[in-house]
Amino acid sequence: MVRGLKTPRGALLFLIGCGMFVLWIGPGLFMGITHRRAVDPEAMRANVPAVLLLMCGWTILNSGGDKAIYFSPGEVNFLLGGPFLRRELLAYKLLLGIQGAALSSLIFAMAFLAYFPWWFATYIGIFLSLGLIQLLSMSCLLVGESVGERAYSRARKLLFAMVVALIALPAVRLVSLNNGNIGDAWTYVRESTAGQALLAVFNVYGRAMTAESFYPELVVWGGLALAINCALAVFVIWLDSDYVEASVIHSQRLYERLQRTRRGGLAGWSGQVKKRGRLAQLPWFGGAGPIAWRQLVSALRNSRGMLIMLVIVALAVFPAMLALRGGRTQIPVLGAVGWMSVFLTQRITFDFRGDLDHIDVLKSLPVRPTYIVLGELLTPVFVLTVLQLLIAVVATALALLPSNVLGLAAIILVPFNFVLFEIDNLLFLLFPSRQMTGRPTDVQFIGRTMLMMFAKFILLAITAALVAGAGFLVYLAVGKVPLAIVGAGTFVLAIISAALVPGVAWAFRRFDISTETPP
Amino acid sequence: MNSGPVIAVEDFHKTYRDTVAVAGLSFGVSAGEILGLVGPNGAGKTTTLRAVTGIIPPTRGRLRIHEHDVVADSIAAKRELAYVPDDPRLFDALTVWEHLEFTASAYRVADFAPRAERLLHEFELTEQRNTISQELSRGMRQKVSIACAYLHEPTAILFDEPLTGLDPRGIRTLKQSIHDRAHNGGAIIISSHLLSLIEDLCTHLLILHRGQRLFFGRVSEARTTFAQMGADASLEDVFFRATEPQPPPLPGQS
Repeated sequence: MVRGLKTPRGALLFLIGCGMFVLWIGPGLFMGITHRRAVDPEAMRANVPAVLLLMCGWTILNSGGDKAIYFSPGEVNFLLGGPFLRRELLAYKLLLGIQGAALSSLIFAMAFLAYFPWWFATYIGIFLSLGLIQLLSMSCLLVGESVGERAYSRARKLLFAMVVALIALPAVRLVSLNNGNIGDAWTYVRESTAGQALLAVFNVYGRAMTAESFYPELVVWGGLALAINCALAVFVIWLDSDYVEASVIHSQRLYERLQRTRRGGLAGWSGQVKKRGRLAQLPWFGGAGPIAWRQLVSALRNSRGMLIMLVIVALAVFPAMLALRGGRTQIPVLGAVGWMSVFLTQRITFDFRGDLDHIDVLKSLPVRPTYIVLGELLTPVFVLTVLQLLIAVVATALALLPSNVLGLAAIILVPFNFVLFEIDNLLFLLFPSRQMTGRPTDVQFIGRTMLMMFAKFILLAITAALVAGAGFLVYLAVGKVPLAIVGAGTFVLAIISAALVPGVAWAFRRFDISTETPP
Repeated sequence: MNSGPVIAVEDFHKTYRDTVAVAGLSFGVSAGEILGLVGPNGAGKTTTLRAVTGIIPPTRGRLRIHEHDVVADSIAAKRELAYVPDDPRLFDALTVWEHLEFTASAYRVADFAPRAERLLHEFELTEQRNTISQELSRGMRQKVSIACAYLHEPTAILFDEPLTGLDPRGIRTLKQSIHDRAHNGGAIIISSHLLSLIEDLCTHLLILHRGQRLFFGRVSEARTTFAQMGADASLEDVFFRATEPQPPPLPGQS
């Protein structure tokens, strides 16, 4: 980070990153200091355990097929090959985790100060919770190492079922309660016997976080949480299964996966790419066909990542849809879909962003840059459009959207998505960076991300203004004829998306892999 | 096709802000010639290869493949070219066969299958035909990269450290394939630090140092130009004599 500060660009990004950090932490800190009375500990006590359960479940499930502790390449070379006992290495990993948790807890405690009654208890509670997540995940990995692959897979499936149940139960309850809201449904699940059993352990951490006094609350609940963590730590050290060989193999795999994640969004989520299906070659189309075909195959082979994406989309959108069911306006649904689409483009990177390490291959092909751009953009546009249409179909089924909007959406979405991905790729080629930061405290990365988002929103705002202007002109000319207004807007959108292709091609041509490929 | 050099580089300059990577480089490689590109780290070898391939633009100068300018007429130039980089970055999600399929499609190679089968056999990749590239070893990836480069039968082939990761059988196959392609009229450039490889294969030599050309000509001429060592001097002797300052003569020595 210090090295990056020596360049004007690095220093600027650092400053912007610091500014964003202050903007994130500041309001919470300010509210926490000035509005102490607004805190509702009971509400936090009710919800924190579920959040912790989800975080633990996500951490364990997100390990994919991994069944060993990760060591960086440097650690593999110097520690696994060094004169250290396995238990010493485990203790080292635990201490490293504690060190990271201490800093992260401080940041979270500041950010959420306004929502908890006592900052010190919040800090201790978050610190212990992060420790729990780490220890639970480590225990699972080592148990998996001891009991064998099949038993471990079964246990993970069971956990997956529990997490799905926790998400699905409120939704089912919501459907059964015709006029209920999400809050009612969640209370019902939480207070059921199964819910209480599932959340019992996590409740301890929630109580520690929301403690209002040192004694008895923090001492009792914090002490209990500490005892659970210590028991897990002793369990981890006691297990001492022969994890080293598995760790070496897994660490190599995970390192490669991290590298893939750094190259682009979904690929990293998918773990090992599986050879699924076969796609026939697309027509030549000036050279865009083979490039789009290659990206489509990538999307197909990373379908596990796509599935995760679909689950995230469902979690983000469907509860809102259920809550809005029966409402008279489509604007919240359309707004949610539009907003989500803008952010989803960050994850669907079957384009230049995922091809950062293949730019030299693309540049050496006998294909014009314009067609390379088209080939690179077709797959992400296709994937996002399919996701959006799925949501539109569900919304139509729930009577949130009239059925005739569906066909119209399919027409508008294609140029809209083209513009979204063109802007993302243009900014990426002009200011390239890896998708993922290497360090959790990479302030320059935060600054850069914010700056890019800002630039993207400005470009999108200009596009929206042009589209709205065209629609307005048609409205003035022919009156309130929805088809004509939407048609004019779509036409302008299509022209903008076509006009952006040479711009992205220019950015691709000027991209110099010797100087602009980020480390 | 005319009788001039297949690969022609004239007054090539490449600068990065204040750093001069290559300055005023000129050379040519004709059909049937194999040029060895050598130089210490940072000499400008990879920059030169990338510029000839059209991956990076030159700051100044002309680079041509069969008279097609790689900047102004890049598509025609690239059709005749193949580049095997030092670190083959294959596409994670594609199998070996799909890499060949993609290359054939991008270079519009009609009826590529028999040719691809032959290449798989030549580089002992037949068993890995349906393996995802992610699961291949470093050497296998290198072989896939070379097979893809050969698929469209280019007349100008550029290799950057081609032996990295190859097993002895792979090395022999690659050397033989380079020799065969040059014999059939190909113009080839090999950039490598393995001077024994250059000595084995190359007809011509280009020594670069800090972006400057120190020598360009036949390998045998290099021996006489530097060191005056005669025909039995090794290329290693020539390389060190060319790129490292010679110690001043001891007192009493002429």
